[in-house]
Parts: sequence; structure tokens; C-alpha cells
Amino acid sequence: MITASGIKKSFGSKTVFNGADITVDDGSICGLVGINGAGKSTLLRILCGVLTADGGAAQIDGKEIFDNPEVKRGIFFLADEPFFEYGLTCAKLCEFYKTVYDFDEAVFRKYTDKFGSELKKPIRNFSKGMKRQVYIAAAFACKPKYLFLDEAFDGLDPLSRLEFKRGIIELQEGGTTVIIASHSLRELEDICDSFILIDNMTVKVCGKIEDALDNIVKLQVVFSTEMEEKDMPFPCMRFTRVGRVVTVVARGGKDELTAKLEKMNPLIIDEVGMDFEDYFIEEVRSGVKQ
Amino acid sequence: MSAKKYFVFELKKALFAMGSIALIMTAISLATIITDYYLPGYRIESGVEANAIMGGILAAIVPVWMFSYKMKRRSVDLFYSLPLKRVQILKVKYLLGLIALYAPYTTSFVLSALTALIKYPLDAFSGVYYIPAFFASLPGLFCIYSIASFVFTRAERTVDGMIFIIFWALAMLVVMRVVNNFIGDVVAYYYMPTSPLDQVAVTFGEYIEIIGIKVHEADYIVANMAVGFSITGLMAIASTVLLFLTEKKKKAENIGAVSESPFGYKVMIPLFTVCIIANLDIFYFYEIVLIVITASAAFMLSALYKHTFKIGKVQAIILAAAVVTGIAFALIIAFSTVNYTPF
Repeated sequence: MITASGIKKSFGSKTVFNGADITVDDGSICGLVGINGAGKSTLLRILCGVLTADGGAAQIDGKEIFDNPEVKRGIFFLADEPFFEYGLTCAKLCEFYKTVYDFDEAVFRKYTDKFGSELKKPIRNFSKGMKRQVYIAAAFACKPKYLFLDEAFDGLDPLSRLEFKRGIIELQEGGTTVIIASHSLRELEDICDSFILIDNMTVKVCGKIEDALDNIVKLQVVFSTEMEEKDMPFPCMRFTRVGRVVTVVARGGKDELTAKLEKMNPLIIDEVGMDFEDYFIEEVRSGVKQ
Repeated sequence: MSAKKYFVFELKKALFAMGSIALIMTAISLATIITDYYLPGYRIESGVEANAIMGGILAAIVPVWMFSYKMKRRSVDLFYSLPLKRVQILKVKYLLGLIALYAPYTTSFVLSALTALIKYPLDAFSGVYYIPAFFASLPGLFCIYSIASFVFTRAERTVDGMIFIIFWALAMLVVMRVVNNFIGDVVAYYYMPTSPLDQVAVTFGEYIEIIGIKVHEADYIVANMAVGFSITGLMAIASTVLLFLTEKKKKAENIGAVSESPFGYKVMIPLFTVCIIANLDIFYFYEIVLIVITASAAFMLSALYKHTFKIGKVQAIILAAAVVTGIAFALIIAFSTVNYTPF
């Protein structure tokens, strides 16, 4: 299990985290989301032992991560821009990872074949997406217990994304815990069961995607007269009005909020479906509003 | 176990570069022997000096090759997330650096020695001195490599690290020249990290030259060599120890930021400014121009240090204070009665 409690991190005068707490259960696929500069990469870099937190503790299975090879043997971190030395080929990359991980070359070949990666060509000659494909293959071949992916879908074509998502699910079935930082929220929704939302120097939400979507409702209501936000019978995360048509986003169950609105004698009440991207937008907007 | 495997991987990867360096060093060294490059018709070119110069340069360059992984965010993300302790990675790189230094140097030295022995009718007595010369040069290379490794890794950017290496190659020279101007009888050159290596080559040259070894050096020169070489040796040992002791404390997030180490710009810019100006003969008008040039160079280095020409009030005050202090020292030296010993 991955736990972080009271994480504080600053870069000079800029505070990135001012007490962040997370818990990621074993075997889950967790989406790490937040606006640009929120601290997603910083959190991943703390969790894989590249950075140390200024305060608080980040642990995996109850053990400190930083400079702990025993814990890090089970971790693979794929950064947003993976490093490769001049002249490095897929074959040499394979050799490199064999020195430090229990590397399964057959898995590596399986994915490089699927992606069509050329093994003898220097990686520097690959496009952004092709480079990522090679490193994804390496990540899968290392069979880590914990896989941390930064901007995971960046540069991947739709077919590669599909293979990538399949691969992640295969890993999860083998017991791997995956944390994926990405702005592709629809892709995350496809594979993630939980998520961490970073906002305003802290972890705003950490939990199951399903629970989060159940706890927020978007309703379109038509009243007989024009309404203002202050007239609503519950606090709104977002309130928009076009004439007598009001769209509200609020926390709570659908039945509970509808019941409260019914008391205002609306002409129509409709629920508008929300996906993870809508949820993210509403959560971040509500933070700005506060 | 992983560290051992990783070392073997890195060693294999570095073999081609090491072979290329050995080839270049050998080619240059042999060329100096075959063409009698230094003093045609008078001096026997043994190859030892050429190898010492190239070895010294290599000892300063290898740390850049080995430790530049610590200066890029992307490589740090890779290396620091591996299941290896940071000190283990550093040990691998440090050891690999020593091999990358000593292997080409040894190859070039041995081939040069054999070529020189074939070309010149050296007697067995002179020829045999190649062996002690070789072993005596190894600590000299180690000193340069260790000091360069430590100061390079104090930087947050590769370019800063390279400048720190140059600073430390010359720091003791400029400082001891000022000391000499105050107290005399100090030969600043012997305090440079390159000096022990160079002296091995010079001494060897004197052995095999017709003029014979000079065992008549003045006491103050012998004293300077003894103190200077001891200081360099201690600095090398301290550098190695500190390199490993400070590894865990180095923060990865500072990569690419301003290099604030006291072993770098922060101390070196004012130190060099003070010492260079203090060494000027202040009563000559054209040396005033040199003060302006020194101050300008200090400003440019400060801009490099701060990553901007807006160096800030504090740095500007430090620079101004360094220039004033340098001038004050230069005036004190000019009015003092101590005999000046030429460098």
C-alpha cells in the first residue's frame, strides 16, 4: 500500500504541497490529476524516491522510499520525458534494465513487436510517441509491484493507447499498483478505479472514481420564473442561468437534491450525465470559487 | 549484486570511448616522440611530459563525463528511481572514472616508453626510471580527478561544474601569489593541483637528460614543493571523502537552479577578484585597465552564476567590496618592503 501523510514540499519560495495525504490500495489503478503545475510530477517523484519531502512521510508497505533499494526494487518510474543516452538502442536499454530489475525480455519483445519498435535503431531517432512506447515496454517487462507513470498517454497514437491500457490492466491483474498522472481524463476513466486530485497545494480528493461521481450531481431545471443562486435550496458548486433554465452542479445524491428542488415547484428537472472530466472541471472550479 | 551488474554494464558501455581516448593519447604522445616536438636536437622527448599533460587534462574532463548525470532532471529521474542507493551509483561512476582515466593513460604511457626506448639509445639505468615515473604520476592524476570530481558535483548545471573545475585548478595559484607578495619565498605554482603530476614529468626529464637531475634546488623551493604537494594531497583526500558524504544530502530539485555551493561562484568570484587585483602593480597606469577587465570578468561570471545580468544588490555589493579589497591589498603590497620573488 502506498501512503503519504502530511507531505510538505517547496521549491525555494514556491510551495507545492502544504500537507498532502494519500492512500492508494494495493492492486488499484489510480489516476493522478490536477491542473498544470499542481504538483503531479512532484508527488510522483517523491513516491519513487527521486525527491525527498520537506515534511511528512511517504511510505510503501510501511517502509521509507527514499534511498531504499529494497522498496525501490518493486518500483518503476516512467517520467514524462524519459532519459536516454546518445546512441542508446532498445537492445541496450533492455540490457540496462536487466542489471537492476528482474527484467522479462519476452514481455519487452512482446510489446516492442506490438508497437513496431526497431530494436537496433538509436532511440534518439524515434518520435516522441515511439520513445514512450519503448519505455512502456521496458516498464511492463520489469514487472514492478508499483508502477508510476507521468503524462502516460502523451504522444501515443490511439492504437498504442489501447495496447498500453490493456497492458496496464494485465499488470493490475498480476497485482501491480499503478499511479498514472495525466490530463487525458477520459483515458483515465477507462482504466482507473481510484484517483487523486491535487489542487491548491494539497490533495483535494483521494478515493474511488465511482464514489466521487455518485456524490456530485448536475441538474438542469426549468422554473416558471427567473431564479438566482441564492434561491437554490442547497449550496451550488456551479450555477448558470439562461432565462428560466438553470443548470446547477452540487454535492449530494441525486434523489436528495431533486427532492429539495421539487419544493420550488419547477416545471422540469433533468439530470445531466457527468463523466470524470466534468467532475474534475467542477471540483477545480469550485476550488477557485472558494 | 545489482550495483556490480550495473558497474559491468557501464564499463562495457564506456569501453569504446576509453579505447578512443587511449588511441588519441597514444597517437599524440608518439607524434611528440617521433618528431622531437619539444626541443629538437637537444632534449630527449621521453613521452612522459606529453602523457602527463594529456593525463592532467583527462583527469579534469572525466568527472564531467561521469557525473553530468547529476545535472539533468531527466537523467536524475531515471537514476534516482532505480533500486540502487545514490552512493552506490556514485561509487560505480567514480570507479568507472578512475578506470577511464588510468586505462588510457597507462596504455599511452607504456607505448610511449617502449617507443622512446627503441628510438633513443638510452642506457638501462635511464630507461628503468620509466617505472617509478609511472607509479609516481598515478597519485598526481588521482589528485586532479578527485578535486575535479568534488567541485564539479557542487554545481547544479554542467557549465557551472566545468567553471568550478577551472576555478579550483587556479585558486591556490592566485591565493599563494598574494601570499608570496606579502611574505616572499612562496612559489605559487607548486600549490596547483596539477603540480605534483607535472613535477614527476619534469623530474623524469631531468633524469634522462644529459644535464642530469638538479638536486641543488634552494631550500625554499623544496619547502614549497613539500607543503604544496601535501596540501594538494589533503585536498584530494578530503574531496573524495566529502564527495561520498554529501551525496545523500544533495537535492534533486535544485538541478538547473543557481549553484549556491560555497565551493563555487559564491566564494570563488570574490576570491579571484581580490587575488587578481591584489597581484597587480597598482602604480602602473595600464594595470588600472586590468582592474576594469577583472571587475568586468567578475560581473560576467556573476551573470552566469545568477542566470541573469540583473545580478542583484547583494552580489553587486560583494563584487564592489572584492574590487576595493583587491585594490587595498595591492596598495599594501606596493608600499611594503618585502622582496618580491618572481613566480
